[in-house]
Amino acid sequence: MNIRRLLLDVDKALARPSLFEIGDAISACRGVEAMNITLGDVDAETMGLEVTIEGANLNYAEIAKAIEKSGAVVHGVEQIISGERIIERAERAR
Amino acid sequence: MKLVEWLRAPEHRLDIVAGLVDGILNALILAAGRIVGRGGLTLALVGKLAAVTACTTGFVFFVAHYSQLRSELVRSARELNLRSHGHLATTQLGRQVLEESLWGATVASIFGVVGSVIPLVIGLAVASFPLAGLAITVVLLGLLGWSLGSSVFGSPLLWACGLMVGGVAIAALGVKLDVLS
Repeated sequence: MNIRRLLLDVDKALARPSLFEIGDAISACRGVEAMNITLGDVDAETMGLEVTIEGANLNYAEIAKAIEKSGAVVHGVEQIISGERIIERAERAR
Repeated sequence: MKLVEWLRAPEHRLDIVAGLVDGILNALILAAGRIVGRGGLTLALVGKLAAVTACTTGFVFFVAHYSQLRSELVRSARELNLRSHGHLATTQLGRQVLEESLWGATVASIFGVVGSVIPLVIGLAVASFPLAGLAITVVLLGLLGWSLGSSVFGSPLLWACGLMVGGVAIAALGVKLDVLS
């Protein structure tokens, strides 16, 4: 499967790692061409991140391992787009 | 300029201040008896005391920093609902906190040496006026307290007096114990 986009729910502790460290870890993975790390919910000790990664032949296992090695935690995969091109979700019309 | 900025950075303050104060107090408790003239000071003794301070300060600060940072990782792992509370220590963060602890211990150790050498060198320089060596050291502690009080927006006078009283008490104890006799 040629994964072109991954949308991940990632959590990290407030103090560390920094977003730059997580970004560095993701960038070093094969196939990553672009990414977006957006701050989500923040509570007393942790912060949630929405991580969008685009590229060609993305390897989820490698990316998840890199994120976890940086000290953050992947809580779930919220979107996978794969194939010859990126296809956006089509809204159901009722 | 960069050194001044580095010295003023809040994240280095604990190691610098604690190292300096620890070094000065170490020197006073161990060598106050020698400073006031019982046996006198030698450069070799100054070197030995500086080495002792470097080792003890470095070791104490490494253990303190590392245990604090490791407990922070455990707390973070709990907050992130990780099954293993030691998990974060096996990631890049484990190495990061180890390096931070070593760096903090090195800084504290260097400033500990500086702090311990100051009273001893002053004692050597004014060997003919033994009490002057102790007095100048206590005044230096006061200046350190004054600058700390200003930097934390507290009362500089109170900080200066606090450190000077502590210095006098430790020096008096050092003279009384005369450890190196």
